[in-house]
Formats: sequence, structure tokens, C-alpha cells
Amino acid sequence: MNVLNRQSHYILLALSARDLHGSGIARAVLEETEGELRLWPATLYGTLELMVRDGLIAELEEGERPEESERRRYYRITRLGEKALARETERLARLVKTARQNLRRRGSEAS
Amino acid sequence: MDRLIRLCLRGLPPGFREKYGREIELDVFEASRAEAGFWRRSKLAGRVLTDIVSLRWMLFRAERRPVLKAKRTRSAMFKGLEAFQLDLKFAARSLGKRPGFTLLGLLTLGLGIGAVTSVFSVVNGVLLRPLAYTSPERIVILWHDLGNGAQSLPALHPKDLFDYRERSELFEEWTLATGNELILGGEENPELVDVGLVEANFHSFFGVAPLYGRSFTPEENVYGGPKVAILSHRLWTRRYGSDPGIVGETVRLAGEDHEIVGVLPESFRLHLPPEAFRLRDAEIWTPVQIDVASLPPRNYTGYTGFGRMRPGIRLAEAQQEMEALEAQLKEENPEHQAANLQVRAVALQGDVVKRARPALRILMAAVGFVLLIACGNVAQLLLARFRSAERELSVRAAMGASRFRLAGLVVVESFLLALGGFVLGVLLARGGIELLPRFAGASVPRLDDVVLDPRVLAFALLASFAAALVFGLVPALSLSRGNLVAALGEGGRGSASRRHVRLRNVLIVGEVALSVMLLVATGLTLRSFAALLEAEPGFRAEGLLTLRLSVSRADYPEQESRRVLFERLHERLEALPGVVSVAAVNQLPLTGSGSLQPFAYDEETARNWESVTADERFVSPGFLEVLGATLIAGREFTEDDVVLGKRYAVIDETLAAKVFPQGGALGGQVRIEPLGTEDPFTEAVGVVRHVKLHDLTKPLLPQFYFPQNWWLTTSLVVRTEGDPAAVAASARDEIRSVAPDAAVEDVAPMADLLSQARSQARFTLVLMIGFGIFAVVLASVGLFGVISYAVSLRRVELGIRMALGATPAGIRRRVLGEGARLVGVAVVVGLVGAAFSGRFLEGFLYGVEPTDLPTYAAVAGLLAVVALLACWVPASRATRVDPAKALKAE
Repeated sequence: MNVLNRQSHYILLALSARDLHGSGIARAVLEETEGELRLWPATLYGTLELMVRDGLIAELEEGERPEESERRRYYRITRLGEKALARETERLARLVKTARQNLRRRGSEAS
Repeated sequence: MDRLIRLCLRGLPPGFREKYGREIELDVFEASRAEAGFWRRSKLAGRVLTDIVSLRWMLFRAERRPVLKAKRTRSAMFKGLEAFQLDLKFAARSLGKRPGFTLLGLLTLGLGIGAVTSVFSVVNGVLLRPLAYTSPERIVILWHDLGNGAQSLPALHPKDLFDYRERSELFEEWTLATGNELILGGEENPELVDVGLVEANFHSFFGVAPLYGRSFTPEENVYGGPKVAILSHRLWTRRYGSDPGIVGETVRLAGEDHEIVGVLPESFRLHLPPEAFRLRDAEIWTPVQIDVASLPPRNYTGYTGFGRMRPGIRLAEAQQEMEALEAQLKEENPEHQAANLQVRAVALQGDVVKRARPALRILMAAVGFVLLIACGNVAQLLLARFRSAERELSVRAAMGASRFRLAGLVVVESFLLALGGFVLGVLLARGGIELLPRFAGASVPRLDDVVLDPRVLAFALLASFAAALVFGLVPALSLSRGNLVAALGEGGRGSASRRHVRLRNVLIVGEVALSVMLLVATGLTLRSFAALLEAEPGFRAEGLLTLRLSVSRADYPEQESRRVLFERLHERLEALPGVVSVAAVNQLPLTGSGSLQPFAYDEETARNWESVTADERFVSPGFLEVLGATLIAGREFTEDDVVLGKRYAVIDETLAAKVFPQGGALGGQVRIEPLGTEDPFTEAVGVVRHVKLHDLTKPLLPQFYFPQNWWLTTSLVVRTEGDPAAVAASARDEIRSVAPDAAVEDVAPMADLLSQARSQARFTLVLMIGFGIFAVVLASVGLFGVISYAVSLRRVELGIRMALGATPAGIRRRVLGEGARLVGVAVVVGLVGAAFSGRFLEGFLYGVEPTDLPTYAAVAGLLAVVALLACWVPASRATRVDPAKALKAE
């Protein structure tokens, strides 16, 4: 099973909260990572394109979009995307758990 | 600053920009508004550029990564449909943008599909469409073979058919018929017509009901029964002005009054095998009235029998039953035993068309080759066209358009072309269907059935789409993703181009090889036809006029009166200016099967009477000389020793060789009556070179020429000084003045009969030559394109060579050499292919082997010359490459 890369992981994370358009996603990711990960537009849309192709997210049809002034492309996480996010989160949770245990053990040994 | 950013955004892949450009622009401008000052903004621009480069890298990487999981939902399918519509628009637009390319492609395809469809319409009408009878697939015609190849005709004795009717269980119905030529009308406008003498069920057997009036009744089949007749539609229209009131009227047929009881519909045609004996697709039908008591023995086969198998019975089963019945008949009838009767139940449809089948098969194959070659050319065109569009397509690929989608694009364009080709092809085929039967003449049966029916249309559509698949798949497959990505990077030169060249080379080698095979077949057909022209018919056809003359029994009741009539005609005709000599024969050469004469050459053949048979003709004194046949020994009959009957005979060389293998044929006695008969011999007074009576290609049976027996119908041969056609009118007038009540038919030069005998071969030849030329033109155009393309790719190389002092002649030689290499390979492949497929031509060729070396050499030579010409123009163009310009273009 492929591991989600950082960008797509954060995009899924942002979309798991609500449907967003491109710059909305970028903004959400920027906030989430506290300014650390800035998604530049070309790479952002490239990633979105590939994720749509992989079926992780879907572009909303015209009628499904929330009301807006500018007509932008909106994206929604799919079932497959949710699963991938859940799996990734679990993987990270295990990773965090193991990492904490290991670090704790090293800490007690050192003391 | 905004302009700078816009410039940066131009670096986005084009398709990508189309889709996301607006939003990217918005986002970037939003970001730039947040930045102030030249330096920070420049940094932003740099950042945008990096972004675009990473995007390209990402997309490039993504191409090599498998798709995570293909997810198909309804909306995805809907999108697929949308994509197809887009492809369609794209393809239509791109075709419209290149009218030259589109026109050339359409024309090539249209001609190819038109040719294939025309030929198929003939195949369909002649071979495939069922005969227009009731359950035609269950109708068989009976062949009685006698002896060992002595007689094989679709003919039998009435009593045999009556026995079959009584005993057979697998057949539901039988019908019997025979034919005659009789004079219709009296002194006014007498004409010789084909009469069909049939049983009452004959027309209903074939599923035809009279248009007016009624069919015959069984009572009318009784010997001495009422004289009634049914008119064919042709005769009814031609002679009686389509007057329905004719039913109930009386006409004179063979000097006797017959009441017209019916008229047949126009649609009815009696289709018969070419060997049909006596029975024809008659103009007038009468009930057959057999005097059973005085019928000759069963080996006199003057009738034709048809049977209809019960539903579900296979031909093989029917044949088995016939063989069982054959065994019974042999046991009961010694003459069948002696002649070793073999009964064959033959499917009528196949029998009717069997002679046309080999030629039609060859033509279909040939025209299929033409279409393939045309496909090759269209594939070349598409390749060239997608070559130039490759960058656009590669961007689409880079953007994630799947290979399938891209191939789809190519395929959609091919199918649009194919659809155009189909329409054009069908239009052309409509012309072809008018034209082909005119070429074919009488050589191909059932030409009335050649029409543009749904099956032909379906075939044309299928052929078009199959063609589209062939010429569309090649470029589609060439769009492998590796190729495209490479094309992105290299800007249209290098390895992808080389692969491209290789593909085109393979295509052109295939095309030229196919043309070679087709040309070999054409060449062989040509040689075969030449051999047919040379074929010695055994007589001199030039300067010979022929006609058929018929009188009625009422006017000339005895043989003697008819002989006297001929004497007078002979005298008057020979007195005509331009006429050298005149003679009579009961049946002209090359006009179908005539009567047969059994003979014997040893004890065994004498015991098994009819195990060997010869053709017989009845001739007036001097006939063989007038005909221009060659007497090898002895003499013809003269005026002085004309004895009616078969006391004396002139025999042909094959008969002489058979009966008198040691020589001494002259004055020899040949047995022509079975053992136990009185006076069973005829004396050979002369030996003549074999005359081709049946067809030009092969001597069939040995021949007897007996003194003329002066039947009601006889044919005249008139040797003329100049053009025989010039004498036709005066000869006809002369006969009319001597015998106003005689019918004169088929006044035509003997050369016409010869030409008719060659008409199928000519038909095939004309088409094969047409296809051959078409194939060569297509292949040369293809070759021209390939070499031109190769030259255009090598402009730089050639430029450098020129700059380094290569001479134009040297350059030209290089390019020509390249063409020669391709053509050389193709010719070898084609010749080998031709040698292997040669056996399919056997049985179709006359007087030439399928592996005829001169033909192969000529084809190779012809193609070499044509190919050289096709390469000459691009080669010359190559010599005019300006080195400076070529290098600058890099």
C-alpha cells in the first residue's frame, strides 16, 4: 500500500473537515502546519489532479458547490480518500506510539 | 510585475493551463498582492517558476507510477462519454483543419472500400444470396454420371425420376422437365424460342405462381393431352405487348395451336448449371407429355430432374439415399449396370454458380489486398499527422490522459475517416454495381441478383471499420507513453523519430509486398488470358459468320424437304457477294452440351455399353472445310456419298487414338451400337484435328462427325471474304426470301462465340488489371511519402554532407539506395508470398503455372522501376538541401 505523501495527506486532512476550493485548501494546510507547509498553486493543482485520478478526492459538480462569488473548483474527500486518511492516521498513531515508547525507554535508561 | 508572473505561468503545460490556469493565476496574484517591494515580488516570481518546474517533474513522475486504484462510478462513465464527445469534436476539428490530408485519406479509403464493396456485391448476388425459390437450400438437381468420365450431365431418363418419386423417403417433392427449341408464330414473324416442357408441379415446385391465368394441371401431362402454354414474362412483354388479354388466346408453336393459359411473373428465372442439357430458362412453357410406352432405354437421358429434400435432411443423407436407389435401379435395369450409373444429388444453388466461384474468390482476395494497401497508406498519413501533433498529445499524456484515452483520440479520428470512406465507398459501389455486370457479360450467372442489399451495406460498413482498426491501430500503438514523454523532452527529434521511421518502413514494406503479390496474380491472369487467346480452337474463327435456322414440322414434314431447302439456301447464299462457302451443322462449337454417341474400343467397353462416350455432330458436306478444321487423314463427306444415318463418320484425332492406337483409323470400323445389334459399326472416312466444342481450355470428349440429319433446327456457317458482319444482313434477307416461314436467330460472327467463351476470363482480367494498377499507384504514393519523410528528417545530416563536399549525385544515390533497400526487401517478401499463395490460383489459370518465372521477373522489374520513380522526386529534393539553412533550422 502506498504511503500518502505529505501534501496529499494534509489535503485529505483539510478536506475531511469540509469541502474546499484550491486556495481554501492551501490556506487550511498553512494554518494546520502553522505556516510550515505552503502549497504553491501549480504543484497544488497538479497534486489535486493526480488525487482525483486516483479517486481519493472528487471535484464537485457545478450544482454541488457551496455558494460563492468566484466560480472556483471545489473538492470533496471520497470514501476511498477517507479510508486512506484513516489508514494513514493509524499508521502515524502506531508510529507515534512506538516512537514515544522507545524514547521513554531511552530516557529511563539514560537516567 | 503582473506581466512577469503571467510570463512565468506560460511555462505551465498547455492542457494543464487550460484547466487550472485561471485559478492558479488568481492564487498567485492574491499572493503577490500580499508581497510589497520589487525584491520580494521577484522572489515570488522565482518561487512560482520553481513551482511550475516541480509540477512538471511531478507529472512526469506520475506517468511512471501506477494508478492507485481505478474507481468506476456512474459519473465516471458519464465522464467517459463526455470525453468521447470531446474526442469526436477534436478529431472532426483536426480533420477539418487539414483538408488536403483529409481529402487524400478519404479518397484512398473511398476507392478501396468502393472496390471491395462492388466485388462483394457480385459475390453476394452470385454466390451468397439464396436463389429466389421456395426453400432454395433444399432443392437439388440430379446428375447421372455414366461410365468412367464418359458422360456427366444433369440429365436423366423420365422413368428413373418416376422411380425416385415413388421410392424416396427423404425427398418431399420431385419435378421433371426438358427443353426444346421450337418455332413460335406462323408466316408472320416466326421466331425460334426456347420451350420448357415441364410437369404440372414444376412452377409451384420453384415457388412461382402465374401472374395471370393458371399453372398446368396433371391431366395436361398425359401423352396426347391438350396443347396449352404458359408465357414467360419476357416473351409476354416482347411479343405480346404485356397484354393480359392474351390468356385464353391461341398461338402457333411448332406449327400447332396452343392455348395460352398463363403468364409468369417477371421475377421468375430458371437458374441451371452451365452443363444443363436441353432445358433452358425458357420463354414459353408447355406441359411435358411423355409417351411412356415408347420411351427409349433408360440410358437415353433427355430430361432434367429436380428434388426437394424434406426439412432437416442434409445433402449427405439425401445423397446416401440416392446411392441406395442407384443400386436398385442398376439391379433392375441392365443398361444402368452396363454404363455403371452413378447418381448424384447436387445442391442447385452451388451447381448454378460453380464456374464463377474460383474467379470471384480470386477477385475478392485481390480487392481485399487493395483495401489493405489503401489502409497502409492511410496509416502512413495518420502517422505523419500524429507525428506533427505528437507534442500536443504528449502534453495530454503528461497531464495524465491515459494511454487508452490518447489511443482513443487516434481511433476516433480513424473512425471518422472510415465513416467518410464508407459513404464514399458505397456511392462508388453503386456505380460499380452498374458497371460490373456489363463487364461480366454472360460469363457470370445470376447477375440480376447483384444489388446493393442490406448485407452488402453491412459488409461495407464492416470493411470500413475493420480498415479503420487496421490503419488507426498502427499510429495508436505507436503512441506508447515512453515515446510521448521522450517527445516532450527532445522536441521532436531523436529516438522517437527513429522508431517512427522504422514503423513506417515496416508499413511500406508490407504495402509493397502485398502489391507484388497482387501484381503477380494479375500477371498470371494476363498470361493465362494470353494463352486463352492463343488457344487453338481447332478451327478458323476469322471470316466466319454463323446463324441458326429453324423450320416447323408443318412446313417441312420430312428430312428430305429440309435437305432440299438447305440445298437451295446453300446455292443462294454462296452466290452472295463476299461469301466463299456455306455449310450446316446441327450445333455450333462453344454453344453448350449437345447429343452424345457411345462407342467401344475393346471387348470390355463393348460389354459395358456407354462406359465411354463421344460428342457427336451432324454436318453437311464440306462443313469441316468451311469451319476451317484441319483434316489429318482421309476426306470429308462429299455431295456424292451423303448417306443419311451413321454409316460413315469423320472422327477426331482423340477418338482415332483411342480406337486405333496402332494407327489405321482410316477405313476402320468403330462400334457405335451395343452388342447384339445388327450393323453396329460406323466407318471412319476421315480423321480431323480435335475441335473445341465445349470450352476453349480443355479437350473434353472424343468426337464423331456424321452426315447431317436435317433436324428442324440447324446452324449454318458462312465463310466470307471480308468482315463476316458485313454479310449478315444480306444473308438474312436471302434466307427470308427463300424460306419466309423459317426463323433465323443468332446471326453473329464466329469470333463472337469465341469471345463469349473467353468472357469470364476477360472479366477477371480487366478487374485484376484495375486492382493491380490501383495497388501500384497506392504503394508508390506510400513509398513517396516514406522517402520524403526520411529525407526531411535527415536534412541536417544531408546538409552537413553537402557542406563537406558530397556531390548531388552522391546524395541522390544515398536516398535512392535507401528506397531500393526497402523495395528490395518488399519484393522478396512479396515474391515469396506469391509463390506460397500460388496454389490458390490453380484451377483458375490456363496454360501458365502459378510459379511462372517470367511473370515473377516482370513484376519485380516493373516494381523496381515504379519504386525508383517514386523515390526520384524526394531524392532530387534532397540534393537541393541548402546546408546553411538546414543547420540554422536546428
